[in-house]
Amino acid sequence: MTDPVFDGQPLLTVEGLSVVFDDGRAPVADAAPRAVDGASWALRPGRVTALVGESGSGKSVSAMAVLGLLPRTARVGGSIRLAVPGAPAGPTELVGAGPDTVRGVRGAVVSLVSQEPMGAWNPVLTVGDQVAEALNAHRARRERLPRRAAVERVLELLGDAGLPDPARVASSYPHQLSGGQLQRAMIAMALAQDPVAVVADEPTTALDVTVQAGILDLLRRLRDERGTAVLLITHDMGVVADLADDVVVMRAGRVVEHAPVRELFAAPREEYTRALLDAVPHLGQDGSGADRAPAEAAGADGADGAPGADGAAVVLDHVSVVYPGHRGTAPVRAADDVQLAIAPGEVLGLVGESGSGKSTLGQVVSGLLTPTSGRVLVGGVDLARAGRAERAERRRHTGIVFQDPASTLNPRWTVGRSIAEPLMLHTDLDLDARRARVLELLELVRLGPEHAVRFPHELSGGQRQRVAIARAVALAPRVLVADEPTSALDVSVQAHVLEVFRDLQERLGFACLFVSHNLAVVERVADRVAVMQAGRIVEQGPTAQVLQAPRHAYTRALVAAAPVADPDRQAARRTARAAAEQVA
Amino acid sequence: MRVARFLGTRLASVVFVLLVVSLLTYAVFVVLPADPAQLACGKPCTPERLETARAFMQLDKSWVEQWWDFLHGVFAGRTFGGSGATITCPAPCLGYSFRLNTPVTELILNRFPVTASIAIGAAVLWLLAGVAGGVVAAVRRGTALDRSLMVGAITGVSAPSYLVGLLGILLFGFTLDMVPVSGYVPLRESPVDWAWHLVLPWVVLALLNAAIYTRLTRAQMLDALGSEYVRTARAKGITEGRVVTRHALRNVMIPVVTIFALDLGALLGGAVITEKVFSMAGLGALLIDAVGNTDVPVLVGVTVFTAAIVVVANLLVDVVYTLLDPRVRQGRVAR
Repeated sequence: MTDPVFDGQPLLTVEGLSVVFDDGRAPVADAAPRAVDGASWALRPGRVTALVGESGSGKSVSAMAVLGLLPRTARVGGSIRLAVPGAPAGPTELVGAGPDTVRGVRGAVVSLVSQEPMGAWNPVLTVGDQVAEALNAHRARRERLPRRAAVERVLELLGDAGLPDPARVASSYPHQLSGGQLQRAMIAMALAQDPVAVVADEPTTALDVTVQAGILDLLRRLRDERGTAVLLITHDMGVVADLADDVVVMRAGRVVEHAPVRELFAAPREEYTRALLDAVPHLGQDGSGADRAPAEAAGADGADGAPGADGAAVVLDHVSVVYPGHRGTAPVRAADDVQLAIAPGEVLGLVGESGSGKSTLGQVVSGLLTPTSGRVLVGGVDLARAGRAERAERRRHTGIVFQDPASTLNPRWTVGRSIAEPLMLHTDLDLDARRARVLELLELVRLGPEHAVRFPHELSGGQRQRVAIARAVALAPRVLVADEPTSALDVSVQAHVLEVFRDLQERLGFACLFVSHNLAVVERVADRVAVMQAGRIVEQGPTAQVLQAPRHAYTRALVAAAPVADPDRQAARRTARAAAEQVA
Repeated sequence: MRVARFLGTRLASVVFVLLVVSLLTYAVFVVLPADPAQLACGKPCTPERLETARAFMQLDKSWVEQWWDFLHGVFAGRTFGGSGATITCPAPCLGYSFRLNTPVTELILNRFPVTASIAIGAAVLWLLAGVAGGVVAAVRRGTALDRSLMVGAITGVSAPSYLVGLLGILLFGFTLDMVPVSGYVPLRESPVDWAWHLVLPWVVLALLNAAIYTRLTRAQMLDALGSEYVRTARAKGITEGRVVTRHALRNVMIPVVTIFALDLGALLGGAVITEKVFSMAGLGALLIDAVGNTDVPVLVGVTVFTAAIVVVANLLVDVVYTLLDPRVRQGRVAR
């Protein structure tokens, strides 16, 4: 496919790329499913090309094929041509190239920034050592930089990556740094050998939105100031809109659409691209919490929801959770004097960044964690003072949905058995009645009866999460705690699961604490929103008010930082944010 | 400061564990029907003679008092007997064998070099062979070399040491007449003879233990080679050799070192079967003889000594751990 807008020589030309994982299980190698199936695209110098797609689309596999970093079971076909401008040798074919050729490209010509900042660093070496290693990667022993020069260069690179204290970062081990710092250092390391292109594999997925914005700015500077080409792999349309120049949409190993970013967002040619864009939740969308029956939510006293409201489903009264420090570390106040109430039938969205304490509060409400101080009333009963029997009774009326359905369903149990377990523990229904109830629950989450006999690994991620929801509502709970229930899912699946959830909530009328880092997701389901920062609730109120006219500076920062899936609006927001920072 | 506090708490726990071990050992041997005084008394044994023997051996007190005497003896030495004939056992006194007429400490000190020579030599050998085998198997995963190393490892794990020992003696000692088949020459007398006499036990013990290390190293290495940080290292363009040695191996060594120190500690307490097979008078042989002869003071002394070695080995693991893994040094492990 050619790009009509741009007529330079591409840096990377990928033609008919196919990747098959030959693990020896398929009878014929050709019969194995193709992770990448005849994909063609190009990366141009000084531009950001995004490979976008949902999980299993082959976007990461394609990128790793460029660097020759696929596992050894991978069989790669097609062509990846690398043409470095000004290189005398001409283009290099990377598919089928010898290990020395491939190694010669890595780091020096094309380098990598990977997703998980913690896992991507060797835990037993300092960050400085690992960056310095990149400096010498392609030098013969006697050409290596002397120690002092290497250290100086490392500090310079770390400083350029926007780290304020390069010396401290260089002498730190990975676990001593935050995700954002590690990702900046990772970019510094990727630039150590001055490559012409950087592969950024989901570079901000593991980071908080406010940190993400900084990393995206850094990558943009790379392109603008150094002319580095960036191959951006992401599932996030907001990130694409923010950073990409060209977009390659992938699905099931094939390229669906290849277009400049504005063209793609303004007028997607393919049905799939349109569906993908539509599925992305964004703030101020239709069906936000504003149009949901506000009368039900009136149980809480006024806008700030002070506890003490009669008949509230959940009341947190001056709740604090403190994790004691050990070996000289300071104690952590995961929740700090939290005042919160959820009325019956109300969905309260709890938003905040990682470490803000929102999951801790979820555990307190579900009774999995006893607060250090304060009262927790669920259905009017104080959990701390209740007797054993009463606590068990409360637990019956509290359901929980966790983030990762793959690890919260027993892999050796059928779906039916997992859903039936709470019925066995808490009711005296006989076998037939339980079966009937399981089928009823499956239907509620829009799964057919045939799913009851399947095992979790036979289901997709979205189906598994719907099973987890069915299990959580099996006992018709009055309170449901949902902790990032859609964060592990693809956007199109997420949209469907959210729809199922909203439908279920309207039908069953449980009160819900919906914990999420994604403001747009919360906007879709919540009646009221509470914003948490460093263990404190900094703002709470009706969804529309908090998200559209935030009063607290932190909420405003959160709303501003979340990228929107629209290149023009995103550019405008970026300018506005930069201006706001300048003023501050 | 932090290191000092860390070592301080660890040392305190070492002392505590040793106290408990010695107390339990005393409790166990007092419950047993064996009575050293009865054995020393001979036949015919009149009640008066038995009483005298008991008083002489200080067995006429309760077992808790005996334990206290034992502890006291470790620091201040002990004197057995009363008026006239006395036997002194200088500090550190781990008891006195009336059967062998020797302080237990002296017995242990005589025997320990033999056991230590066998154990340390064998351990170094198996650590090198095991780790090297595991690394090679992991790097060449799925090849014939990997498979034959793993078959060898399974054979090694399942072979009984006396069988391998005897086969070794038969083949290299008698048939090929390459190495001596038994006996021990102290290192100070002749280092060459010392090593030459130990070659066979070293190889036999190493063969058996290297198997476990090969498997452990291979599994850990495969994990490390599939990890994100190894991918990052490769993406920098450094050579595969450097990826393996600098990035993967150091992470692999963390669990390997743990197992190694514990194995070595246990072996230093006496390589019972190996010492028997090669007729070497080590701690293990001493312990077996003491069991056969119901020599309770020797049993108690050797047990406490062995426990001390294992506990110290554990302490060393912790220290080495902090050197290998910066996360432990910080007192917290990242998720």
